[in-house]
Amino acid sequence: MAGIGMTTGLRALLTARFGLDTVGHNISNATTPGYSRQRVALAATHPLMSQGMFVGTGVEALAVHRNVDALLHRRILGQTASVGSLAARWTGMSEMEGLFSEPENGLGGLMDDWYAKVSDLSAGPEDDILRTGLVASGEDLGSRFRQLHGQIGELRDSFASQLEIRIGEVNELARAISNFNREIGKTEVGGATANDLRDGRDEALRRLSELVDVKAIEDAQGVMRVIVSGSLIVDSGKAHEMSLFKGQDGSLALEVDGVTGAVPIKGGQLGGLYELYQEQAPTHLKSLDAIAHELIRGVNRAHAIGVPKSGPFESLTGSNRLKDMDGDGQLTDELLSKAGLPFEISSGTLYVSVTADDGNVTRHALPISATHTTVGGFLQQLDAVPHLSAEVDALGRLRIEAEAGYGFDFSRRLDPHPDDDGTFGGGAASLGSATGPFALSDGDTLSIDVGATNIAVTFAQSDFAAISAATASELADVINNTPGATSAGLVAVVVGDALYLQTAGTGASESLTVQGGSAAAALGLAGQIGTPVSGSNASVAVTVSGGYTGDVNDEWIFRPNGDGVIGTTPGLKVDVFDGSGAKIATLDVGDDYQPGQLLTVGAGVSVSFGTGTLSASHNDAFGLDVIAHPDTTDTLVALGLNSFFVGSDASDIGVREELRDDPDLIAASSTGAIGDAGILLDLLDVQDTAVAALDGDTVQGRYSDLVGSVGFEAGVAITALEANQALLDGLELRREEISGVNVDEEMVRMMQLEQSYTAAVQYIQTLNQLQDDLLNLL
Amino acid sequence: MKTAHLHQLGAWAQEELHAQRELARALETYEQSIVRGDLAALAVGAAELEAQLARNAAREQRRSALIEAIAQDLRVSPRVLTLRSLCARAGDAASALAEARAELEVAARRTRGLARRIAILARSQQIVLGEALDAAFGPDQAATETQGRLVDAMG
Repeated sequence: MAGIGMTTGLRALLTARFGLDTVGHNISNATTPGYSRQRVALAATHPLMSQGMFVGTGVEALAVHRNVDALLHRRILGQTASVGSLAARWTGMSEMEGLFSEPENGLGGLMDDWYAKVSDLSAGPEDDILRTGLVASGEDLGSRFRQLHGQIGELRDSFASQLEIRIGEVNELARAISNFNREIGKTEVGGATANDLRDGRDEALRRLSELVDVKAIEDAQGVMRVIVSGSLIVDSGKAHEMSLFKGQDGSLALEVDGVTGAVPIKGGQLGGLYELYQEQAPTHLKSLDAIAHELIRGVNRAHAIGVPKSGPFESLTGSNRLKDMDGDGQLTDELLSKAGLPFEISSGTLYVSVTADDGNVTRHALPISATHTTVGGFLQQLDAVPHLSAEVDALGRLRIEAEAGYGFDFSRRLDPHPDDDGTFGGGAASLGSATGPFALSDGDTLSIDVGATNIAVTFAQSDFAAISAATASELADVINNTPGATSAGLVAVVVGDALYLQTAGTGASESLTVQGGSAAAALGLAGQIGTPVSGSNASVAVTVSGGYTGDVNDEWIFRPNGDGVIGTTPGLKVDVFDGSGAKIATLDVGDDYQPGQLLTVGAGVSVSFGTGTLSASHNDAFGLDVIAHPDTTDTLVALGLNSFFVGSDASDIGVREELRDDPDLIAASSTGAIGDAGILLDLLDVQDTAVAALDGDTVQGRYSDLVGSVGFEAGVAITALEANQALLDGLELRREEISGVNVDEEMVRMMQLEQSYTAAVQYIQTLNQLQDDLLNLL
Repeated sequence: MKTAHLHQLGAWAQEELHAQRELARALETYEQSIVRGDLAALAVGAAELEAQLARNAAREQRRSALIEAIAQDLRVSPRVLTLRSLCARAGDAASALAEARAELEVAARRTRGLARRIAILARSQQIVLGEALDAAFGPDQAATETQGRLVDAMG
């Protein structure tokens, strides 16, 4: 009996001390991250039969349990991963937002400033100071573009560096969890519960979930397997290392030791950083590049067709390089539109104006096909322009040079003397055909007397693309190449779609007569057979002025409505037709007209006529090219000819070096006339031009959108972070209620216990006294 | 010794034996409350123990009166009387009482053992908790002040 009492007492003492130790352990770890409150599970020991009675043998501690809600723990892991991801995203987006902040780093402000400088210059296009200011403003703008591009790139690199660091932490935590697995296995093999080790493992898992979205599965042996995007990073035996792989295109992929192929990165800080590196930063960089690209394109498209202060160019070198894309060592066989230029080339026409020192301008239309024109073909076209030559230099840049005494440009200037051939009352004998094309047949002939010399022209099928639809140009080539024609003084020229037969000499003594031939009827000359056409001692001087303000490229044809003398014949008028044949103006040059007086045609164009004789009977006419878009192909932009900006995106945009050295090269004028600021006005229009490649936005509008979207994304990230953090806080609070240690509660409880024990001691002392009295009596 | 006194002593012994067993059961429950640190159970146990002590006091009063009467009858001091000596005086007539006394002695010793164990346990818990609370809040200032202090006799 005494044995039972001793054992029971000792067990009770040990159990009580065990309980108190657990309370103390709880209090000590009240601030330990991830610690779960522990409690002692007690049970009465088996009673013993003694002298016919069951005598209790006291109490014992069965186990110490952790207060843990496994489901809640899983939810906390998932939520922690979400918060980790959002926190990383918010941090990254905030940094990016800082880069775009206006007005300190204001790219938008610098764009405004550049356009303001353009506007200033338009008020005084010859002003050297304003020109220098525009160049400086352009340099600031380019510099800021390049800086912003570099900063976003650096920020992106920092996301990659952070990813590397976080992956190192993931590997460390995976190893820690694996070690915990091993220790827990060893500890629990005897049936005990390794509470503190499990708490440590749970805390490592929680920290891991901050870094990446993980799934954790515990097996019956207490081993925790950790899975990231379907790949085990901790299994029963060991932790598998994660590593970052960078592809040639700069993209990052996550690899796990022992797993084939890339593992998707989702959730946690890794997920957030990966999204920033792989999506957000490249997207914003791409947007910035697109904005710079379209700014360069828009500005250069306008500037390339301008004329600098110094007038037409003697030579010009492109700033963009042609590339031998097929690697055959030949550049000339590359399609111009696919020769590695940074801007697209489309099919259309490029007009080159060649100006002689005497002011005479000849315009040449170079048709360009995006699918057929090669670099070599384009060089040939340029070489074919009288007084110009072109080559590709050693760096792959196109260089155009004019002969001495000539200059060239790509402007929309009007030819001031459009009747070079004298087909409109000129001094030569001149006879015009009907308007082509002409339905000829193989072997058709035309017999022409020039003075006393007869020239017989035969038209062969091989001379035409389609002889049944012969063009005036093809006919002129055949006539000019007919043996004896040149020596006889016969010249064939083209005005609009009509063929003109002329004498090479001028004056009243010059004459030509169409004598007949099977082609005469088709050419509309049947009525003129046998009727001599004489030259004139006074040719009509035609002078064009103004600037064309129309929207389309066109050729206007000027024709008299009768025969007569300018300024003398009553009712003599000149009709003006557009390219479609529609009459757009009628100019009165009859007896009320003062020769030399300016007459308004329309669309900014005026014309004056000198005295002389006009003949509708001889189909007198001249053509005037009116050019709204000298380059409908963007060839000038692509080659970087006469550009303002160089580069192709935000990484390399800058002001063309020649302009930095000599601001007089700013091509402010659309006509070359002093005071003309037509190109500057076009440049101002660029800021309001909707760009298809920017989804219909303007350049500045798209930049505002970019700044707004960066700010919006940062705002969304912080809002989502706050919401998710609140949710996580709620879950953590619940975990604290279940698993946490409230020191105050534990202390109050201890004080109450102490009072209870004090009372117990007093009761027992009284009881002992009574029992002693009783035993004395017995 | 009067037969009536023997019967009264027998009845008391049976009642006391039952009370001791009840007391032992209450003490065991109380002991487990102490070990568990279960505040609610401690309060219930303390209340039951208090009730037991109150009932014990009533029995103690009746027992004292009976022993006083027997001592007068035997013309001895009540302080020298024990149940064992009374059974010896009564001989065979007190055989049932002797048996009850033996059972009562076993029960009372067990109860006293339980009580002593609980006293040690409660005292031990009290010390541990006191130390833990001192560690958390510092020593009890009031307790220190009641322990007196050194006085400068020359002052």
